Amino acid sequence: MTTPIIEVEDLHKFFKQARKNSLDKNKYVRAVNEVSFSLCEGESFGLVGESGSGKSTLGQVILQLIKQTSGTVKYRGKNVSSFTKKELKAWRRQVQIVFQNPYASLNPKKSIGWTVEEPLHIHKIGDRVFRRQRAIEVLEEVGLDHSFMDRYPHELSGGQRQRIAIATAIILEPEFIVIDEGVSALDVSVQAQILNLLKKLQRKYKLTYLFISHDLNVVQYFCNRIAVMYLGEIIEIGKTVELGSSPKHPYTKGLFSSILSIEEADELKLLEGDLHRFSNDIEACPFHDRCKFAMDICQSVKPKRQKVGNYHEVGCHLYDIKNENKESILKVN
Amino acid sequence: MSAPILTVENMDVSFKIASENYKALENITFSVYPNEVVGIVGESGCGKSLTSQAILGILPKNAIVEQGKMKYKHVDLRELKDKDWRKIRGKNISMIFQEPMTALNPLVTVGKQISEGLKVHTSYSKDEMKKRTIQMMEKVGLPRAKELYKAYPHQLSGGMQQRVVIAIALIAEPDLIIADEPTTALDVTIQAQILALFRKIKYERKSSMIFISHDWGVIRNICDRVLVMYAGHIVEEGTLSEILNNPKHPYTKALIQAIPDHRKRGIELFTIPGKVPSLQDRKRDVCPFADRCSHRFDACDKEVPKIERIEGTHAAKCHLYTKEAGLHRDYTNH
Ligand SMILES: Nc1ncnc2c1ncn2[C@@H]1O[C@H](COP(=O)(O)OP(=O)(O)OP(=O)(O)O)[C@@H](O)[C@H]1O
Ligand SMILES: Nc1ncnc2c1ncn2[C@@H]1O[C@H](COP(=O)(O)OP(=O)(O)OP(=O)(O)O)[C@@H](O)[C@H]1O
Ligand SMILES: [Mg+2]
Ligand SMILES: [Mg+2]
Repeated sequence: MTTPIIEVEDLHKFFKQARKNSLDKNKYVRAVNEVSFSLCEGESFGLVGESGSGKSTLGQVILQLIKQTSGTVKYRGKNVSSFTKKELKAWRRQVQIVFQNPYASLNPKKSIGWTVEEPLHIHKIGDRVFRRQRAIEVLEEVGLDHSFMDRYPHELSGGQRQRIAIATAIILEPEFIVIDEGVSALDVSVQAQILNLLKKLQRKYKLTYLFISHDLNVVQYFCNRIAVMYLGEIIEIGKTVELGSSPKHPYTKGLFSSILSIEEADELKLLEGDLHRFSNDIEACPFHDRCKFAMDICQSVKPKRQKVGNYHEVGCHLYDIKNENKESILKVN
Repeated sequence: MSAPILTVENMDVSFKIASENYKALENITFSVYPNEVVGIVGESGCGKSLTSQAILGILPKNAIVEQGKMKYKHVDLRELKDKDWRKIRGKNISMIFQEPMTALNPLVTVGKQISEGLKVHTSYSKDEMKKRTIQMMEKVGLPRAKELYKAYPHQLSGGMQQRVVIAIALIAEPDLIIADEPTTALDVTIQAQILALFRKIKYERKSSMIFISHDWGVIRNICDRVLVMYAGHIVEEGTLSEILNNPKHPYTKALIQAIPDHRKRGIELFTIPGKVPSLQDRKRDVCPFADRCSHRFDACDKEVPKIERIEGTHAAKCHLYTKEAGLHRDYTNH
């Protein structure tokens, strides 16, 4: 196998708790906790999981927009923390992000044309005429015509702003893009157009995507591998075909059964249990207090990720080899 | 049927761009009945958010309602002054905005922002307000509600911010909720929870909703009736099952065809050729969809089709169904 484009090793990011003057010094939000995985060149890697589970934080730490608390991120085998200034600048050109909240990432005072051209400016690419031409070209690619060049963010609909963010991310033809809910605000037909475009760019430039989304229909359509996050950790990871057709972790099972389809309605399948109360119990399985299969061991030992298929790993004690109830539990599901 | 809670009749909205007026909404007519959820779908930029902004009197500065009636029960919404609106917004009609960060004040704690509605519309004591706020936060599935009460918006994840916005909209128990992509930023398990909460509110309080979403799975699970919009027009309306199982307008059919799902992996997704024309490029006296329609025929380039009732509540704005072009009805069977 070739060197992965991204390697993440034992990554942590803690945020200070919202409450000030807290006496409890251990009150951190473990937004990203013990995360390890790698991405191969040219793949579309889906990151899904509960809201607040750390997906956006992880994406931003990988791009070093937020500094990790500990752990390493490697880009093509090189530790990104050891980049020199020059290397960092060159790297910034290769990696891009489409932020979850497009409105916040657009400068309200600047025209769309200015915003889309900005990356070319920063990296001193082309002259004025070229930059304008290129900006119009990428606008066309995301399905917006040149008339948008002279407009301002507040004059655009939500989906139009989202497409500006995508245009800005692809204008430099990067190698790696984090797409944080990048197509969520789009209606199905524009979404289809953008997904087709992303696929086309991928084929053309061997682009790699970290695709964060809670729309499991889209993720399963678009991504070849999926990782599921829960309370800052990757609890399951695998090829889309395997993980999608037979999710293993009780949370992943709940997640996939909540997909709303247009073919059936009525019964909303609600995941049982309270939404996560933030237990600081780092020894326990992050999901134990919501899990209907929780055993004694789940409260005291955090499960390690283990293989359950060729490329499929899950962090759950139900799949411990020694677990005698395994067969019967799995049958129930 | 009881009287509608909201009626919109022949509403036109225009934008002033470089001293020219461009119509962004044309002839918008629909009603919402008590205890009913009406969905609005349609491509990006077709005027869904604008429709809700017009109803709530919060249009952008360069937009004008050129004509039309908008009534909430017996109240003429176009006549309301700012101070009247303050009494109505939140209490009678409330809005869940598409982009949560634009609706939240970055400098105020989320607890304060949620309890604001109680401060304005009720005379509860401070403690009571706090209690109800925390209850509301729990209802929308915000974890660690007591702690998050004191948090600032930027300390929350996107989905958490969205739930704060939902809590703000629901706290004063309005009877009409206009929700613009309310669950788009939420993961599917929380989405299911929020939809269950909306259903419960509908069931217990007999409230009504206008529900804007491009997610057909969500529409399927919450709406009673659906309006399909294209380029500022309502091009089709009907009950949920009429729209999903028996769509008439070629645009509606195409939208449904573009829905992604894992069975389509590896296959290029169906898209509608072309794009929604920008306001300046819209043709005014022809069918707005003609340029992109696979069933286009001569009538389409002659005039805007009238909305034509197909049966019962089901209606479409398409020449395939107008009387003059009746012979073309055969088209619609494939
Ligand atoms: N302030 C403004 N000035 C000029 N045009 C505007 C302004 N605000 C919105 N528009 C235009 O009005 C049209 C309708 O916008 P609206 O926000 O209602 O779209 P939408 O259907 O909600 O789309 P989306 O699904 O992307 O949110 C769009 O073409 C948009 O570009
Ligand atoms: N600047 C910050 N200060 C404090 N806490 C933060 C900060 N940013 C994020 N968090 C917390 O970190 C956790 C993870 O947040 P993150 O935004 O990564 O979640 P997410 O998985 O992207 O969620 P969503 O699906 O809702 O976007 C949340 O509990 C959030 O409240
Ligand atoms: Mg996020
Ligand atoms: Mg909108």
